[in-house]
Amino acid sequence: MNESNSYASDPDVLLMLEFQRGDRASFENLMRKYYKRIFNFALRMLRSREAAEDIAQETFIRVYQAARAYQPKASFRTWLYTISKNLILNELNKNKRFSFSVNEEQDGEEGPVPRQFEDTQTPSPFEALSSAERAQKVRAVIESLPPPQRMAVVLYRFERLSYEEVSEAMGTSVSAVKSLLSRARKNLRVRLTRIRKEI
Amino acid sequence: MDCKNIQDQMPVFLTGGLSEQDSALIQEHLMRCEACQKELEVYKLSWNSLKDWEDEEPDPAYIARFWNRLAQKKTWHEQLIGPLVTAWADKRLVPVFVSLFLIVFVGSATMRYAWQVHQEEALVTALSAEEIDFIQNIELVEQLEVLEDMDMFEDMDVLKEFAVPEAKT
Ligand SMILES: [Zn+2]
Repeated sequence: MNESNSYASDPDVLLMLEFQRGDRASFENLMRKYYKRIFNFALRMLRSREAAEDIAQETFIRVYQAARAYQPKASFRTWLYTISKNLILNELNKNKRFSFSVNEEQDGEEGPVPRQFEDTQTPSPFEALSSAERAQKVRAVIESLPPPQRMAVVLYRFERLSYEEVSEAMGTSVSAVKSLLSRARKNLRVRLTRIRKEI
Repeated sequence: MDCKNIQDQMPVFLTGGLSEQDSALIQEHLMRCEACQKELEVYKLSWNSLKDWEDEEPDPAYIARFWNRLAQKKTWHEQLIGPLVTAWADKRLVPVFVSLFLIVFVGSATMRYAWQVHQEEALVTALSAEEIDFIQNIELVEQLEVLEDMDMFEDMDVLKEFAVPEAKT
């Protein structure tokens, strides 16, 4: 429809435009491509499979409902993550355990990182744990991060979005994303090292 | 920069948040400082260990679930209007919509006119002959009043002058 648009060659955008003309199979193809990604994004942000499944379903409901008015102004993928990010934030705020927006600076930063030269001297037994046990530890550490840091890590590290895409999806600047990721790296380094020590 | 500074900057360095100049300083320091190299390794190790948290598979019936969920959400008018709006967005259908509009507009105007005519006819047929007579007399009476109001008809001479040429013919 809008061939002059730079996103018109994005295969996802093409699928979306095909769906706009009534092709349900195109919509299902988009779901096959992204449903698992959105599910895992939500799963790493929320704690339950049920909640994550709900977010993923609702994300695609929104896409379906927005399809009539859809115009390829941004990459489809970024748009999709933006929709689910909003749903995830609603869910997090609903639980009242934390109320946050991604632009807020309420990070609950750890104190200064103690220098731990001795950590690396002995090989860590962390790698000797079963993969399920390691996953459980990593999960606990990521879940202990403040939600904005956690979201930046999940989008960048697990969803493989670029800094630009993360900033677009989170509705913040690239420098804010880098700052969140730096603080997350620091926290992960401290907390994972502590766990390694405990083992 | 000393080791403390370097290590404080390390997460920013790894995230690519440093200027080229600061980045170069750190790289240079790392070439000759074993302690900082180890600290860098610790950072990389912790970041890499995130991969241990693997993806999970969603419910395999997610597509069927989606269509069910959508059907439950849609009200009857959404189900009806949805395809219409989709069609509206399709510019190729503009002539169809224009002709539909014309048909509806002209059709309703014609129907309204026909209805009015029909109403009048129905009224007339419902009247008796006397009533019709009476209505026509009302019209005459009204015209008489108009004639009486006109000053020139009060002057009978004027009326006569008007009458004369007629008599001649
Ligand atoms: Zn050093």
